[in-house]
Amino acid sequence: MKIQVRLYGTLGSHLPDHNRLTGMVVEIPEGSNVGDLMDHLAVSREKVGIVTVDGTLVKESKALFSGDFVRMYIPISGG
Amino acid sequence: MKFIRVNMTDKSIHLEDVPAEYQMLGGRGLTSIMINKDVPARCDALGPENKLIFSPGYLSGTVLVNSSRLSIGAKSPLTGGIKESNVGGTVAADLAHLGITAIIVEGKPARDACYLLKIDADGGVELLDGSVYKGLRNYELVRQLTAVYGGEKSITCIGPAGEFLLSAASIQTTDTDGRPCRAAGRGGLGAVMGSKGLKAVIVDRGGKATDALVDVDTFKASAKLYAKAVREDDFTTDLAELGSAVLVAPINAVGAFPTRNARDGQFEEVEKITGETMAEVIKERGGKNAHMGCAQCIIRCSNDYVDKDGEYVTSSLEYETIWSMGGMLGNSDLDSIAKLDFLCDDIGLDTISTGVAVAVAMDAGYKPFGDAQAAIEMVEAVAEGTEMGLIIGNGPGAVGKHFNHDRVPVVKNQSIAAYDPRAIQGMAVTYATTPMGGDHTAGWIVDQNLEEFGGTLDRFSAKGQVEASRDAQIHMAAVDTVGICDFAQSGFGAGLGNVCKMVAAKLGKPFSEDDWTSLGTRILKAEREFNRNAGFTNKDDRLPKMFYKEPLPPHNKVVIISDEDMDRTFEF
Repeated sequence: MKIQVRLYGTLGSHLPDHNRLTGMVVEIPEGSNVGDLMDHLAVSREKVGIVTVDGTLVKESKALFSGDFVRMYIPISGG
Repeated sequence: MKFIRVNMTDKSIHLEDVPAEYQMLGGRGLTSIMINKDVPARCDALGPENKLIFSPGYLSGTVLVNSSRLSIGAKSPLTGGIKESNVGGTVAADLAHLGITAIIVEGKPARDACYLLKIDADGGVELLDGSVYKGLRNYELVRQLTAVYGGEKSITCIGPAGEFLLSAASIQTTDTDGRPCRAAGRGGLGAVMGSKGLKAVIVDRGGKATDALVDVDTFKASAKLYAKAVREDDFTTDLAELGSAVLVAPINAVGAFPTRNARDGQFEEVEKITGETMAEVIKERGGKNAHMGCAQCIIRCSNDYVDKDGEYVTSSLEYETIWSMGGMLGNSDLDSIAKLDFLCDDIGLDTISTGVAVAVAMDAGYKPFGDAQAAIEMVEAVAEGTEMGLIIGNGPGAVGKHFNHDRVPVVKNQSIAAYDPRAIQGMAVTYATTPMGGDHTAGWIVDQNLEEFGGTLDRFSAKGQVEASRDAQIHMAAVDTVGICDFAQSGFGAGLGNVCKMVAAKLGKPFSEDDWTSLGTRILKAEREFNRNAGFTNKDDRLPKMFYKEPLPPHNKVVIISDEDMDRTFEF
């Protein structure tokens, strides 16, 4: 299935096909969840803060469906 | 180690040795403790009894990275309480390199007086007539002063808003490129400087009289460890690539980005104003990301924002301003946000208070949300001194009173910042209880409130929020005293003990982690005492009604921290 992914901050720097403003489309097996998508993208978990699917905050175990828009954000600090 | 005491009533200048009681203080610790001791709490903030104190951090001027932070303190004309507002640029390092622990400006000259304070590398300090510079905006002021006094200076100054004694007036200072784009924005300290008739402080750069360290080797070893921890932190890379605007997307995603005067927690047009978008626009147009704005900075969160022709618009476009002039106004036009940022720096206004003042005016129906041109006109009106301009320049509280409008997101008359307390309950405690008035840096516990960011607190629950805010406020009071940049706190990854070693190596006496906490506690107690003496009570440690009554979409929560919990924050 095809999933639209957008990685914020520097999360997508290692992915040549990832556009910082529009993200990228990835093909992953049916039944995959957010954690599987992270593995597919080789994004390490400690570098990910929050994840949303179609604007809703989700956990790694959230099942994905074709056409979902997944956004991953970096952890933040400072102020 | 010396104090420069400048009396604006009789124009006298005295150089003093630092008294024993201030020997291990700098930055906020010094300004707040001195103000509590020497300024009558009920005095007129714009009168002769108030003092305006400039103090570099205790570790400013050393080899430690990201340590050029200047604290400016006074009784605030905005809040009526004690105020410390700190700023980067180069001036803190420059003053420390001249061995200056603080400049204390007191008294008051005749109305309409205008002076420059010039501090030379050879130790000369003089007050000069600055009447020809009266009324100038900051960029033109700095251009003219640089032409007259030469380039290798830091210039700390006020624009028309400060001269008009407006409560949202900032004190600006120059960055590494000599532009007055760094702001001690909060609390209206520009008006205090204006009341003293002081237009600018000009300081020679590159002084050679830095206070000696007692244990140089230990200091250097600890400073090296600190720098390593900053360099290796992932967030440092993000800050360099996207600036503090990196926060826009995640804070909006969690529904905590106050939008249209905090009617919503998410901005539907946020993608146009994220750090990612800003960085791409800057890159495409030939501006600068990863710009070094402050002395000894290894993070480089600053940027030069340019227009479509590649011409300079402003530096640095920051998260808080993108919020106050963007989301808060329902404005997704990044170019207008940059223009508003420039105008605030040039006129000498706090971007947070000014943006929120405009937001309150729009909320009251004066102009529609999203009308960027109207926002620009309202800010320009401040410099023109029109009636509406003067109201905007006095901050959101003044605007609310003018329109008889009660949706005014302020605490102690100072606006909150870009984290809605209904979506991050911990920030409700910090905004309500810090002696500074609505302020995010005093106890930023956003990360602790978000499990996804390594936090352990439920952001919609009251549990643990008072303790987290209290601990953060104590810690920040100490951080603001040593003069470490907020964004360089990743260096604490090498251990608090490592920072304490640096303090001890300068002090020549042991300084433990317990001493660090005692220092923070002592400062907060002094600030709290000043506010109590000024007439503040527990009732001032509350948020405005809108945060308790109006659920914030999309999570539809209100602030649930009880008054009793708020009152426990300072039980230490």
